[in-house]
Amino acid sequence: MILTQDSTQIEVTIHVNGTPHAVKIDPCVTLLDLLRDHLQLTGSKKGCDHGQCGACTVLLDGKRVNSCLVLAVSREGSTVTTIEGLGSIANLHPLQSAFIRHDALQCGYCTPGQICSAIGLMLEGHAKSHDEIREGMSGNLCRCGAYIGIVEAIEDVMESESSRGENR
Amino acid sequence: MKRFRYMKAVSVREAIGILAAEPGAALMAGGTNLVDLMKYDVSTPTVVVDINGLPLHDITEQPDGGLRLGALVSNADVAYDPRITERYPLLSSAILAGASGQLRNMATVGGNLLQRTRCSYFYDVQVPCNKREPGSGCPAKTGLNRGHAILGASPLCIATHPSDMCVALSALDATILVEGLRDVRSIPFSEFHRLPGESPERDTTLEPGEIILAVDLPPLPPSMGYKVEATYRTSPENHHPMELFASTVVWGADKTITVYDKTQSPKSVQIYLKAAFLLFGRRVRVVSPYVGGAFGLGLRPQQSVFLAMLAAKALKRSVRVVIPRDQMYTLGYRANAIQTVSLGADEDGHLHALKQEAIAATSQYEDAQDPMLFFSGLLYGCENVKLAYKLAKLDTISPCDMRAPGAATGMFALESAMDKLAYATGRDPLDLRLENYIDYDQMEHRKMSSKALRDCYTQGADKFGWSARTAAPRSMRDGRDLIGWGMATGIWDAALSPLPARATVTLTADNRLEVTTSVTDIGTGTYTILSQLAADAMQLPMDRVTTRLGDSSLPYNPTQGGSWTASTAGSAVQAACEKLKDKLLKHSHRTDQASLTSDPSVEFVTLLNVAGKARMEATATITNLPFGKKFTSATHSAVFVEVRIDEELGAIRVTRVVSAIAAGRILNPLTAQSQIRGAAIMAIGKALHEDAASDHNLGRCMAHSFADYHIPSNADVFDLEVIFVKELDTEVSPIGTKGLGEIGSVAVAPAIANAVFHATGYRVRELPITIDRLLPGLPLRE
Repeated sequence: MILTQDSTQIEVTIHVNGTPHAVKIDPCVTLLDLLRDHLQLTGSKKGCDHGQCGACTVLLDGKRVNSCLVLAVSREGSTVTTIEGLGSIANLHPLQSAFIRHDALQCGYCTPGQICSAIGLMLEGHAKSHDEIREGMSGNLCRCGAYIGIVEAIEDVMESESSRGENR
Repeated sequence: MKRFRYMKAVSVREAIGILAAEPGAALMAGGTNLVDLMKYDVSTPTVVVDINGLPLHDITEQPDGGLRLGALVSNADVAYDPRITERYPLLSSAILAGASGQLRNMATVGGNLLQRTRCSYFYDVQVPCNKREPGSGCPAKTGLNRGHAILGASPLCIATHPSDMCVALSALDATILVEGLRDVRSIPFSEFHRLPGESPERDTTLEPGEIILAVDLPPLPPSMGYKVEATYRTSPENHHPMELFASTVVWGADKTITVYDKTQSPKSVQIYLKAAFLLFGRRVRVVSPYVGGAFGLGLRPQQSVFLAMLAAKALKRSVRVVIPRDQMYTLGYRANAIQTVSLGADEDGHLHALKQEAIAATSQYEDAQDPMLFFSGLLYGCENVKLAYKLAKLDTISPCDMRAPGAATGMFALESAMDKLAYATGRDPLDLRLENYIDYDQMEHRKMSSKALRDCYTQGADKFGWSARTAAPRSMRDGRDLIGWGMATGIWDAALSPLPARATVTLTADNRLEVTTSVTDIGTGTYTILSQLAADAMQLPMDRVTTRLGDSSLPYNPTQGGSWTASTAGSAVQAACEKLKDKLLKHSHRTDQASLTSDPSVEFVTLLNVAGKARMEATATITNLPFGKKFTSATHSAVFVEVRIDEELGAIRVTRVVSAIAAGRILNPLTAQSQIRGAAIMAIGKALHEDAASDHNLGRCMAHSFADYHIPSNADVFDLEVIFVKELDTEVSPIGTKGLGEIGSVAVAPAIANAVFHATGYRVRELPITIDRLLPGLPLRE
């Protein structure tokens, strides 16, 4: 998008990974561009910019969305979780470790979106079977074709979470 | 009829002499065309030379197995000769399709070739005709011209040659033996008749005075029990790595320029930028530690880096250029192609003739080639192999190598044809391949450095359960689903890069090893395997090894691609480690160095301490000269596929794939399995979805996004099992690896196409196999 000189900037506060960010931005700035270009959170990726590939998936108020199709100014006060908010190298999120164990990535570009999407999928609670996970994860494209490992990693985490639940 | 002199020639030399001396002379054999034309005054010779007395009346066997048809043999005698009806039935039926019994008894081989056109304007001396009367005009162009030329016409003439026999002779690659004043020569049939061009009055390339002695039919391949021939089409495909192409040029104040680029070759981009922008006075560094997927699209410097540097140089500031998804169609594509495959086999299913002809797309400005037919002569034993690769220059951009370039397209055609042959000969597709198995390179006449393809066939078939397949199409069904099982063979190059490669390893006093080389990691696991090789060589745990890649300032390594990076960079790293060990061992007090290097309890860092050094490094270069090779090396695969096709909707699902791979030493089974799976998934896209189609009126690719260019998603992928068969190869590379990036893709699309045939009984010979193309195979049920 082309920014015009006289565009009216709007102030918006968005909580990203627990930190409030008050920014003054043009209305055309998407949540993805806000994260990447304004907040330097480059973990969320731009693969198509049209909501087709899922590389930009983040959790917005707890739900997985394509951040490339969200105008940031429309989400005043919202809460965003990106890949940077999930774990660290020293303390990986269970899905991150499961992705490594199952070699669920090759070039890694789609991976942040895959992991955020998988968390969203688990929170939604609709996908229970192998085939439902495959269907539910089909909004996240992977050209390297790591799909089998991705589904295995999600199943792995879902199983360990449900067994933990049973133990409680 | 105009008056003329009549002469009888008694020898060929005499006939030639008369022809050369008398410009108005005409030779007469059967006379069926000449006399006819003379009656209309279309032909008005001053002398008619009767050549029926010349000794040109025989059909004779040739030493090479071909036949020579004397110029004066009658059409009827050719058509009914048993040698013709048995060996060249095409010629026999072409002759019998024309004229009448009487005319065929009179007309001759030579005369048939020299017939004039049947254009009615040519025959009518009351109207103009450039062929009959040069310069008079061509009323046929705007007149009655239904029977005239569509191709090859000129502004002066649109007439065609009338012979059916000549069409057959042309198809049979006949040659014409002619004699003139000076010599005897042979003219390929396709060069005998000429297009009208500027001189439509000349029908042939015969020189004045030349006469036809005979037509030579080339020997045919040994007689075939079975022959299959068909044409296969593939669509252009785009690589579409998930990442966008992006280049950031950081314009340093101190004459340094750092370029963060998406590339499979930081060194190539550096060399390109320096040369294209004349940046020799500056330090240009190109960095690409995490490339994304690329799949071949990053083999060349792309527009983003060119534009970013152009702008940075003009503005003297840092610039980033990102190419959006819809413009990534303009960076490159897998060439679409039209291929014709002909296979001939005997009653036992043994191949005796294999012909594959490909026409591949390229741009107007570049002859971009790929190895579409490189491998077609390597898989099956066959004494007659003919491969022809042609480029068609189209108004498009240049193609750009995409995963398993060429081979994935070429093997689709060949392996579809093999499946067709299996059905034609009543054989199981796997048995047919095993019966034609060879373990040497019949094209270059040399050994293979290894070839465990037979194990791929047997282990793959076993894992898949192939023996439970019922041969007949439509014979396996599950409710609404038609089930199809298909298989195909794959092959790809196994080689080191043709350019030398370097790597440096550095051991530091804290017992850490650093590996550096300029090569990239496009998701193939280069970081992992290089660390692994170095850790093995230096007897260190993996977490002590750090690998740095993707930086033009690191030791030179060629472009990542061609499935050669593991072998090339891996061999360089291993050689550097050996060198480092030698250096370290010089500081050892022990004399039995051989046992020292194999002793796992020895830590090389102690030798570093003995030497009193904080760090020690070694650099090795490996070279791979492409000539004088004693062996041909290749990776192989056998792929077995199950498809389920909803008979009412036509939706195709690839529900099971078993891919058995022979690729030498496997360094890391986990990442290797991911390579093969990913390549197979990309090939599912080729087989069923991907078509970067252009609108021919707008001249524009109309696939702008993932909405109109489908790549496989998670829901498209079901079971996909990978087997690595054992294959020891001591010749292919110093570390015994053959490369894995491409081989996983090659056989999957043909295996799917063959499975679709098995499911439906209908062979779709155009990729992708979309529902509309499959429709004829899904007859509507009541």
